[in-house]
Amino acid sequence: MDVDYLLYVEDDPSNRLVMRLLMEKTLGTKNYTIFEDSANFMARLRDLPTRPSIVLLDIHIAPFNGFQLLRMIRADPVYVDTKVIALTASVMNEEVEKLRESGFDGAIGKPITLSTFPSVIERLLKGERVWQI
Amino acid sequence: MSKESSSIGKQDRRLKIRKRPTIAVSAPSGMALENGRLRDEIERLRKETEQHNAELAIINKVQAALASKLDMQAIYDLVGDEIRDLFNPQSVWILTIDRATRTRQLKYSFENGQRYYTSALLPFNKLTEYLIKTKKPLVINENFTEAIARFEMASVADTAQPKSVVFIPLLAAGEVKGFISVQNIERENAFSESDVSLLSTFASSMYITLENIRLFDETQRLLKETEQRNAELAIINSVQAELASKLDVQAIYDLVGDDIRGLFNAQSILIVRFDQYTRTRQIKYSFEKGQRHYVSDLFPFNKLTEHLIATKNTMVINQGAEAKVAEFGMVLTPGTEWMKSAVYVPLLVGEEVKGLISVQNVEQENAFSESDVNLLSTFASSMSVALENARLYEEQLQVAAELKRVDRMKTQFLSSMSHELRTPLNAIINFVEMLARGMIGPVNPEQEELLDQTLNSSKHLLHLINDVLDISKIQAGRLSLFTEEGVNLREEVEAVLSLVSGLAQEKGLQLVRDIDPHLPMISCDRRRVRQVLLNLLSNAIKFTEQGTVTLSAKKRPREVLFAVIDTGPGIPPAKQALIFEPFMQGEEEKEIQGTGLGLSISRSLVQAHGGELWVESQSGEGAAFFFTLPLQERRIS
Repeated sequence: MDVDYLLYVEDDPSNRLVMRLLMEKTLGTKNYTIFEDSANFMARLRDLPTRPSIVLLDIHIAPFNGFQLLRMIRADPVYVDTKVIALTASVMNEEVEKLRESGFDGAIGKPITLSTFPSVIERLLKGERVWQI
Repeated sequence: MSKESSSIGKQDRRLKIRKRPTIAVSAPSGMALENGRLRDEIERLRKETEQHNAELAIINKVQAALASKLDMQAIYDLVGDEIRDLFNPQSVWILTIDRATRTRQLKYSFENGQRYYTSALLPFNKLTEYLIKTKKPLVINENFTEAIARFEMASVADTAQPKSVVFIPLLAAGEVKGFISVQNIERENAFSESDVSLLSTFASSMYITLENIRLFDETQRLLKETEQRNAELAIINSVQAELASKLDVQAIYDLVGDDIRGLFNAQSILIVRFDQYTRTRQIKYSFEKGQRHYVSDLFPFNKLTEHLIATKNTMVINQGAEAKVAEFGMVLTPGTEWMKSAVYVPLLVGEEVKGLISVQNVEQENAFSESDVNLLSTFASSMSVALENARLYEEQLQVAAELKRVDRMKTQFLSSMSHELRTPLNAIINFVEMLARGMIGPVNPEQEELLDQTLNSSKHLLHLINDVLDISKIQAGRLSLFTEEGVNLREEVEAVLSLVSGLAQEKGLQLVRDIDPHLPMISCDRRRVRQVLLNLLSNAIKFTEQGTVTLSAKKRPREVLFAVIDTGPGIPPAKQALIFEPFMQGEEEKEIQGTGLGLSISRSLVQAHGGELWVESQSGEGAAFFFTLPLQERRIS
């Protein structure tokens, strides 16, 4: 599958490792970058070798949380085509509703389902809104 | 006598009263003794007839008056006037006597050609005593001056002394209740025996009439009192009905206070609440000098408070208010005046005095009757009940609020715990699954087996977290759906079937699909519908050792009906209600893995969609779980 470029923002080391393995073992790609925090986010986003086509955001991250990061990305017209997905451990319906209302293109709940991860990414890249909580 | 007269009177209603002719007292001539005897006889008969006619006439008139005038004074007037007409005397009196107070009262007085009116009470005199004792008419036809001395009669100023007087006692049940007196000031021997007998007849007829009227008046009075009581009862009923619906404490005080204002002869109304813990009183309702007063101050208990608390009894002050004020050390509210009458009724809840209601009259003593006190007590007890209800309601609200807070905390705790557990589980489940699948490197069968077991346990832990979170939200009434429109049910059914087909295969069970090819698109929470289907199917597979598990889905006019039917051991009817309770599984199935929350959650999820979930089963004949999803979305908030 052609994942042009994926960015993941996650502060938990083992969750970062999960994503690394998912990208390399299930999608078979190294076209990704993982940020360990959200400091100086936009500058680092622009410094990436390629403009990411999909950004996965942990919601509870510092210093800027997932909602704030979403607004920063949406505010820059350069990233108008970038899919922004919440990768969250908060699975209550109220929280998911908040994600939808905030303008996320989709959400993937933790734990990520290994077997369906590639197809979910594929559907999201195609522009489908997926809420796999 | 009266009975006979009465019947004659009825026949001769048209009889007109005839003036009594002056009685001719001519001496019989010696020459015509026989003639004289005959003339006397005729005269006697004529007199008798006239007397009889007059008697009939007066009784007739009195009876007519009884029908038209239900007023005792009117009867005295009528009888007095009749006597004047019949006897043409200079003076007629009708008096009543009261033996308890030993007083006489003039009810009719005619003298010097005119009527006199007086309400004065005169003490008994010797004549009164004499008449009471003898119960007989007293005729004084001569030597009246001697009689004045004998009976100690006071001579009436400006009136000529009578020459002939008749006193006829008014007898009722053998007792003298008054008397009629007819006086002639012109001559002695003015009254004959027959006059006396006629007057006696009038007296007894009149007294019976008066007694009838008195009874009638008494009945009217009782009737009026009953009506008054009925009106009060109606008010109390309406107050009680209204009080029952009032849960705001001040509204109760206002309602009762306002209602009391219209019912009692009182210028001042007070409702006071006692707090026995802080020993303070608070005025909850105050009406004085024609307006409401609002007082928020707390006052310490006074002697009256202590008295009411100690006795739990109503206190009535109808006289000697000043002494009571001093005795109880009451303090006058500035701008008000001391009462002359007051009633204090304690507000009793159980055995405890919670306050008082008081009505006060500042103008008169004896303002409050016994029935007023009773009425006020009724108000007090209705109000106590209402206040207690309001207190309990407030308490209940507090408990409910506290429970809600605890429940919110519980859900909040579970929610954050779920969040905290998912981050490590994301790592555990994915790492183990990658290892088990050999994605990281080759694993031998023994390692794969252990990794699979670890993966299952981890997933079970995840389910447990999900279920506990769901049930806590359901119990807190905070389950919300993530509804999407146009959900393709066929896709969801297929997705779930693919998830469980492996499990069925492992147990050698046949998974039968009976899916309507025309399943409609509906609005629903896709994930929740899947969760219900998955729960029912995995339960069926879990509890069935051989045979089939069938999933059927049919479109019906207003809903889609799902059924999961197995050939397992079935569920005895007695247990069918229990399986929907949280943490319940059949006793014999205790060893089977599961949280025991699945069915309870599934039913709540279906109900949240506006559908129903139920079971049909007989022990030993398998079980069929059904649920419906309405085509028209009905949000259950």
